[in-house]
Amino acid sequence: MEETSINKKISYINFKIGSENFAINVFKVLEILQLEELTHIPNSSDFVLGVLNFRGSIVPVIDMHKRFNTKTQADCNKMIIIVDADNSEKKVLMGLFVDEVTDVIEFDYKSIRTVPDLGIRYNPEFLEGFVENDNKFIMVLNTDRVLSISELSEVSMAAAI
Amino acid sequence: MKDFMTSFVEEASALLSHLEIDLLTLEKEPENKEVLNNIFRVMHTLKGTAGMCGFINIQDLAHEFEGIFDQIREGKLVINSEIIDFTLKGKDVILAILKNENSENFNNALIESLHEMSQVGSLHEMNETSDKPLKELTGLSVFAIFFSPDKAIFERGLDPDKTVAELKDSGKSNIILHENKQSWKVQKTQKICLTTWEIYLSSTALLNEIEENFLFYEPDEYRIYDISSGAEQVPPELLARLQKLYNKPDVKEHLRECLIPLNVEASKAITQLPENTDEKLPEGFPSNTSTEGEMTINVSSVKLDELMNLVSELVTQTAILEARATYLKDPGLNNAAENLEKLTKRFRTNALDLRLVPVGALLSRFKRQVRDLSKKLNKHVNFFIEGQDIEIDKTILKSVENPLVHIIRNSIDHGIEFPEERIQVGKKKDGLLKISAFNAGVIVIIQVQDDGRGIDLEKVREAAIKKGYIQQDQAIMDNDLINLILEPGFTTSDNISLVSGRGVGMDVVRKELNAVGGTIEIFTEKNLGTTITLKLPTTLTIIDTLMIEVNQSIVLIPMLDIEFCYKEKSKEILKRDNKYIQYKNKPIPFVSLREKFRYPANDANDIMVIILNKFDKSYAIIADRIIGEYQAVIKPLGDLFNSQPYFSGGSIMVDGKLALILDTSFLFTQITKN
Repeated sequence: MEETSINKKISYINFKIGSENFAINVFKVLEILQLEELTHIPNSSDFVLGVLNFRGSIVPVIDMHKRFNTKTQADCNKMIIIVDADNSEKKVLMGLFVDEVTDVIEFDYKSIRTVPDLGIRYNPEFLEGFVENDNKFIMVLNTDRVLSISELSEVSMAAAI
Repeated sequence: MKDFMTSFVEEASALLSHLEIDLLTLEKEPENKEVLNNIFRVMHTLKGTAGMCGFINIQDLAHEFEGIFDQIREGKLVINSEIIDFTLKGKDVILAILKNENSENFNNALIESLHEMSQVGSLHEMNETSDKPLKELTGLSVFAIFFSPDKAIFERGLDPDKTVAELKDSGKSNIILHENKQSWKVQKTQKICLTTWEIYLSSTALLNEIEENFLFYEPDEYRIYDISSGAEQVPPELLARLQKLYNKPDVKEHLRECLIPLNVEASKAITQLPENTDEKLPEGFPSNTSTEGEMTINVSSVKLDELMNLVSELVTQTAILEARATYLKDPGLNNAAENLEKLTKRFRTNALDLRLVPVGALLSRFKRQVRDLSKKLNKHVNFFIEGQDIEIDKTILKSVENPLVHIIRNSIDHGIEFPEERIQVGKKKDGLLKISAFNAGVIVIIQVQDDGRGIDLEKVREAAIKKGYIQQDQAIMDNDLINLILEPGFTTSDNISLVSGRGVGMDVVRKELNAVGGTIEIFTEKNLGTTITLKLPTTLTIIDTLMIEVNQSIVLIPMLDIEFCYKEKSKEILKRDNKYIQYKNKPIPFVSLREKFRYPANDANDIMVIILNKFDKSYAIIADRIIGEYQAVIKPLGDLFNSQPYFSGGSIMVDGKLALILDTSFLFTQITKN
């Protein structure tokens, strides 16, 4: 096998949550939408901003700022990235509420480095690692972990009732 | 190869379920030759295909059964419940093998006993000579043949005259020509065939030899009945016709000599064919009693859901287009949008229909259960099914299977009495058990009725006191009392019988029904029987709702649950300490949705009170305003919201926005709990 096929570069969508740069594998992404009016579901988890109609299905929108313990920026083009959270065989669509989608970048999977446990204000398991691109640190999302349904749906029954 | 195997398993399973129905029919009508042939054919097919796929066990088993049913066909064996029992068991074994269950031992034992049975088969020979098939007495067979070639038969290069002549040559015959409108001669010159031949033929030929004459004709162009092999195999319509034609009471006897002169009047009478040329065979002719169902295909529910998604998306887009067209005031565009809307509506109805299946598919499966159970308990039960064609969503139908099994078990075990007991109280020896299905508006009702001893309300009362549901001497309506048996852990009997009462009771039945939005009602009368009524939504995917507004978000309430709505001019009731309002002179609990959903209180003075009825009890909810009715296509909210209990789903509105569907059962349990 040729060298190039192993070192194949993968495309990632580059976006911002708060002031930090994040990236998600382009194969996970179905569509990128402008933030629209969402339907709020009373007594649901804090992580869930609401739901929207995406191609005839009800898709929950996750507030990524809450997930990464940060706040949304004032002047930015707020977006929703629709991803297939693909839990085992089931197709699970979710929307990620982010601050801005900047561009598409390419890098080698092997260039992803592990995140040190110290110095970040969120669960490092949410990330596959980080890459350096254009003098920026870009966090690569671990979608399975960050969009874990059991964690996101956690509402204390006391709050619900 | 794997595909081949799966398709074999699927096909065989389908064959087996037909087989069961046929066996049960045969038990009731042992002389039904058609059914007997069906069974034989199924065994034959199974033997062949099983062998091809390497299921040697199934092949052997089917081979034995084929032998037995062949002997029955030839009259060497007589159908009895023993044979039916064995075959039913055999069917179960084959099914188990198909499902890869370990049934080796059972299988071998069964084959052995089957073998014995076919050995002793010859001993079962009929002893009365008068019942011996005519064929054996005379060496001649008598056939009734109805031959009705297609209009354009000449274009296919066939000459009906020649076929009839060949038939004539093979024995003695009586032929009646039913010419239609024109004489056969005229028809022949015009190369059109509208004629039907009715032929009675006595011949030494066998049935398949006669059939060979029709090799080039389509199966629906001719019907051949072997009427010599015992008159009990002749369809009753045909027998009646024969009696009319030959004007003798005992046709069977005379047909042997074939052929006594025809009753000319009778044959003429039927020659006056009806005008309708589609219906070629005159009335009174035996119709083809083929039991083959419509052709169906299996589609995965994922694909159906995808289709539903696309359809509702189409509905939404159509609405947007229509709004745009109205705005632009372009007549051409308007027209097109309107047409598209009509088409979309039809498309939607059609797509929804795809999920519906007739309830008969499930109900007829209970025949076996009733038969086995009543036999085991030594009870006589006449089982009837009504309304097999009523259609309901497949998911819902599946979810009522277990509840129905339980209810039927209860009816036979506890409801219907033993034969002696029934006679003593002046009832017929055979108990009656009826399942009927019918439509009532948007819901489907499935009712299980028996004419047994009914539920003993005194016993229910005793048990209820013992369990602490009610106080000693507490006055309680019979209706409320009986509903107590739906409570978890409620049982009237201390000893658990083998058949029913294995710890799971009617509460499970209620739970399973509630899960699909159904309800259960019980009506019982001492010594007259019990009626259990299940009310089910026709479909899970579409419901009629009332659209209301709470804090600018849209909430949909299932129309089924709504009893009454009114506008309250003052918000005084919201400030009350006790959360009750007066309705029909009774206090009923209420809940404000704004409060429940933690929305801020609103400024408007008017509020809407919506009275809901769930499980025969009323409660009220308070909303901001009522928008109108809406037919909602229900969509799941997804796993993420499984832990929030207020909404059972969502629906996409015409403007593309989402609305939430209120879970009225949850709200009910919550309100009544407090």
